[in-house]
Amino acid sequence: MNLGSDRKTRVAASVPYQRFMVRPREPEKEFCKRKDGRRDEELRPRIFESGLVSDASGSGYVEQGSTKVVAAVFGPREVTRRKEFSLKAQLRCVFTFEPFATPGGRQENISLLEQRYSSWLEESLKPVVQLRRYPKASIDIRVTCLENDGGVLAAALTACGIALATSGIETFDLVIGVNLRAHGDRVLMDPSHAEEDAAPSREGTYGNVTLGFMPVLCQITGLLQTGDSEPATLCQQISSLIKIAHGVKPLMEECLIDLGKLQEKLSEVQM
Amino acid sequence: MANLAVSDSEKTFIIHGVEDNLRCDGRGCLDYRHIELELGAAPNCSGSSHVRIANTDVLVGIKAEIAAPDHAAPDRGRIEFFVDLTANADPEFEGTGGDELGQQIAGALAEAYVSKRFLDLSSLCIVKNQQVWVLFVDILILELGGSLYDAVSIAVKAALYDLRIPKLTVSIGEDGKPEIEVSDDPHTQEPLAIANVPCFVTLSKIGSQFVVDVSQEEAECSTVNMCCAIAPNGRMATTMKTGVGSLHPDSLIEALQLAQEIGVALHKALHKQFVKAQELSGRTNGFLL
Repeated sequence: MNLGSDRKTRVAASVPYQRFMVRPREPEKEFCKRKDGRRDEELRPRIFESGLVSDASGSGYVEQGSTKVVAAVFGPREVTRRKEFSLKAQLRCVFTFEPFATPGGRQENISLLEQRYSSWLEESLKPVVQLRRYPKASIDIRVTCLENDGGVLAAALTACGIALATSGIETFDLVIGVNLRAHGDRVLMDPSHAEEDAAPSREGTYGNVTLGFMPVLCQITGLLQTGDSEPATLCQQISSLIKIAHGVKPLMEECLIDLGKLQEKLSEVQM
Repeated sequence: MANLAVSDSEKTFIIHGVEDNLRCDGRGCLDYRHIELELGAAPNCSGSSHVRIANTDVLVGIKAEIAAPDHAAPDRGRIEFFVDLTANADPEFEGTGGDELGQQIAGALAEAYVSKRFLDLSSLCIVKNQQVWVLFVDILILELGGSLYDAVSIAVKAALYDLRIPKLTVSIGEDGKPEIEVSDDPHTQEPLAIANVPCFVTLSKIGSQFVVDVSQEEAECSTVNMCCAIAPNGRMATTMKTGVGSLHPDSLIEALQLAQEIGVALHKALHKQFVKAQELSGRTNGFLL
């Protein structure tokens, strides 16, 4: 077997041991039942927290099953270089996977995926923030995935939504990320990592759909579909994702209210 | 992407025109500009193409090499995309300036080609678990004139149509290991099955209308694009929202259906042109002429 070698260091590259494991040929028998016993439309338990990163203007933490994502908003900061002045604020988003976040070995091309996720998040967050209110400013958002068990992109967007809401930066609305896995006729909401990566169904549609949604304004801020689908099917899936997003919204609001109460108490103590 | 200075009054003019289904160059909202297509533009490649849509100029060369397969797919060939935005297209792309956009395009293409339903790479397998063909697709963007994803995906499909890989014979050598022999007769070359390869159809929202194949001036007037990879049979390999705006679910539904119709028609027209271009292949003087 060719193990390949790292050109830069001229040292034979290591290989994750998982490669040599014998895998069942038909993964999970086209998932008759979901491994964690959920119904197809059932979400995993989720936790939303805010104010975890003390140095940031606002931060959010999302746990979705065992997927864990932290987002922190820095800014708005003044842009010092004259070349970069613009009438709208510049929003930059950097997404990173921690090396221990993904199952299996260290991934070689993870940085490409990180870049793709970063630009998707950036384009999904730009419609949310009132960029015109902050001329000559830059807003930086750092997102870190601590554990990947499916739906990282959706969890990251929700975490960014909480972080923005708590940062005091003016936004148009909250933003919520939701995702699903299509597999033939079945639609699995909030899939785990194994479900997301499962082999395609023999026929019909398959693939992952991630949606960014502003619930009050009813606007789609981000969409990413992969696999094989059809417009009519995708439209149906999007409307069910929107329903899920409306269901998640109260939880997010609760998290924000909790933070507000805490801050109120703190200011009372200080008085 | 490179920014063009368009004044507010110019924008209003373009938006009002689009509302009346008449664009600056006389097109309707759902019309493409003329697509110039040339195959075999780079003779040193296994397959190449040159596509020009008005000012958008894309050159694609595919080089086939033999390498070890991916562990996850030991019986399939590989396809890898590299996008190079030249500083000719925009001075901003000088040095590493074009890398971010280039990687975005390469990532989107890889996503569209990943499923074997759209491009079956199993015919590129030479010896399972050991040797497969790897297609290195190098995309060079010479000029920007809007609608970059569409132009790039058309050029890549054309280059795949033009692709000819020499036939190999595998025999078991004396030591029991497989030996590869390359045929020197070019007539044994096999084309790749590209009947299901998708192309990107980008719909940009200008005012309340969706517009296909936007020029750079028009791109400045739109805030949100739906970028869909549509296969000839109307199925979607990948869909993404690009741009800084947001969309109502109803207009998203409208966009997806439009993209499907346009995509199917585009593929029909392209296949006809591929056959014609194949006859003319290699007879032109230079790709910049």
